[in-house]
Amino acid sequence: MRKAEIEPITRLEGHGKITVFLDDNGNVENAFLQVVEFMGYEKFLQGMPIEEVPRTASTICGVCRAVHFSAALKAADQIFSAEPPPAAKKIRELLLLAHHVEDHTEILYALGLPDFICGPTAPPQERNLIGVAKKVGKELVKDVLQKRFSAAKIVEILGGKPVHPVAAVPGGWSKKVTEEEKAEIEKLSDDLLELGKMTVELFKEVVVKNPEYSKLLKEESFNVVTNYMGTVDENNKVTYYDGTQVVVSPEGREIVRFKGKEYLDVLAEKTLPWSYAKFPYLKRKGWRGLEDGKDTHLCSVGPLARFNASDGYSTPLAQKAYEEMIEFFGEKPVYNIFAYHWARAIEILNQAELIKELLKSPELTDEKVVTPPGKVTGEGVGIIEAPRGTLIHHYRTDENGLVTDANLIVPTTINNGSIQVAVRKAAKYFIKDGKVDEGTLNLIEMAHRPYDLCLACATHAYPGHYPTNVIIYKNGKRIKELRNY
Amino acid sequence: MKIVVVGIGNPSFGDDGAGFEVIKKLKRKVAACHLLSPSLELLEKIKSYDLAILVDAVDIGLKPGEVIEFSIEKGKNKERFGGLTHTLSMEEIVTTGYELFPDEMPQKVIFIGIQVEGILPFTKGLSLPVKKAVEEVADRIECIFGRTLKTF
Repeated sequence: MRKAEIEPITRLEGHGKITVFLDDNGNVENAFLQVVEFMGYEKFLQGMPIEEVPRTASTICGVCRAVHFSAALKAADQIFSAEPPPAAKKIRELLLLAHHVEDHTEILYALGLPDFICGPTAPPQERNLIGVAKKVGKELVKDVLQKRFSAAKIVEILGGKPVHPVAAVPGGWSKKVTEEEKAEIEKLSDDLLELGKMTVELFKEVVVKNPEYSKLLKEESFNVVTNYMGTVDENNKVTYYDGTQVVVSPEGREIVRFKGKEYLDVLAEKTLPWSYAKFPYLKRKGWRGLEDGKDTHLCSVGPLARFNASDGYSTPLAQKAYEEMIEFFGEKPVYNIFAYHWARAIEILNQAELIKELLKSPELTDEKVVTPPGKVTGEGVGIIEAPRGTLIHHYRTDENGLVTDANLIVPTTINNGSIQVAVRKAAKYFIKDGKVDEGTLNLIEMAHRPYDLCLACATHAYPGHYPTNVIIYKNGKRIKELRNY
Repeated sequence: MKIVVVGIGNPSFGDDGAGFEVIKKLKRKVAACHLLSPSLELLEKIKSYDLAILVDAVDIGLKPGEVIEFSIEKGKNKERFGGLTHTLSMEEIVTTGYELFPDEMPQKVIFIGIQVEGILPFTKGLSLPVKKAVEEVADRIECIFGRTLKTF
């Protein structure tokens, strides 16, 4: 048996590695991706006052700045028996939505779309934002970046500090939104709506209307058939800050709805000896290995999972885009992993429309933005939709509100099993007769990129990029090495 | 001449917080800001300045606390692109800035890196050699400010 490894040099906080096992004919027998685990955070929080946790959580990751913050904050509300007033809930939701827009935009334009716009086998030097600018025009990319910055600016206005929000308090928000701030956010939100519209159109132009990519979108080898989890409102439409979590089967049938602590009855976690990361699965189905299909226990989260688990979007433009996507695939659930990017583009539009709706609410600028803390309950569970999927923060405290126990289930971990299946399928599709070259490296990486793995969480090293090398072994001997740095 | 310093790094990750600590020392003395990790936000922080100084922890096999400094020149960094999963490299961001916003980017971007002793997730505080290096880098940056403003 031959072994091919795609191994990045360790980044400061850990690493991921793809190992591909080839049979004697050089075809793929199996493949695994080792995902970095969220190590140490729970321990770090021991003894910390729960009111400090949201602000600390916002610094867990340099990328996901609003998501851990929001989930921890919801848990802290419960621990202090302090239901936030309507204005505070709206502020929090606005901030989370604006963060989604900035994050989705960066992921799509800088990481996901270059594979399609510049071509999946284009050299890495060309497969990036500058490459995208060359293909679709510098002005368009400049415009995208400027509009993305409008989303970041909204986060800054509401969060009270550039980059990482600090305005959180259990039971609400530490500052009200002034009329001037609201007016500024309204102006900025025009950019977001335009960004959403142009992103959905660009995806259709570049990917859907391209016969080669359109074929990839329908290629069964890139179907990862799992259960899907997302958060929905009372009309079963996608929502992000608050709602009910719903899981549907691979056929799209609702399996379970849950809220808060009930997640413990829904998800179980399996540890496998070769990976630092755990593998969550649906408890009621039991552990059935890393296999997809109609009987699978694996569950996916993220934009496509939200698309599949819901009845669409509550806003008109996003709903129209949703219907177009269903028409393209001819059915729902959609299993193709590249459709994650399509759903991500639709979400930008949906989030911009939701921001517009929230801004119409007169409650947004209410004076009352905080509910005083009540009895310390000692336990809280905050669940939100992060850009890459359902995020769960569960805390227990002593009677003084000091953290005694913390449990975080992050989207990349929930997707761990699905990612293994995607990587294996891509490896099987692209590696034939032992032929592995520079292009193969990227083609396999394309299979995990839709899930937007949080491998870079929290820290980085100069040069800060993600060096990757593929090492191919034959009969125990290294016969070839490929690298992107 | 308008100068800005951007410190990059996570203070909850041991020596990765070096950039943050440098900014803490320089704040109120010079235009300075902090990012937890490189992102497109960096462009907004350095656009419209004449000189940007980026300070970050590095792990490139030097002696802990050793400091490196060099200019990130326009367009020189393209060969480092690629293989990304979740975020962008600093070089990619700076080069993208020069490519897309040539008129707004600083004339010069200086990178100062501090070799780490260790990166321990969710650990506060710097190692001794990195702590010393932070002092040295803060002084060095103040000198750059003094020199540059004098000669301008």
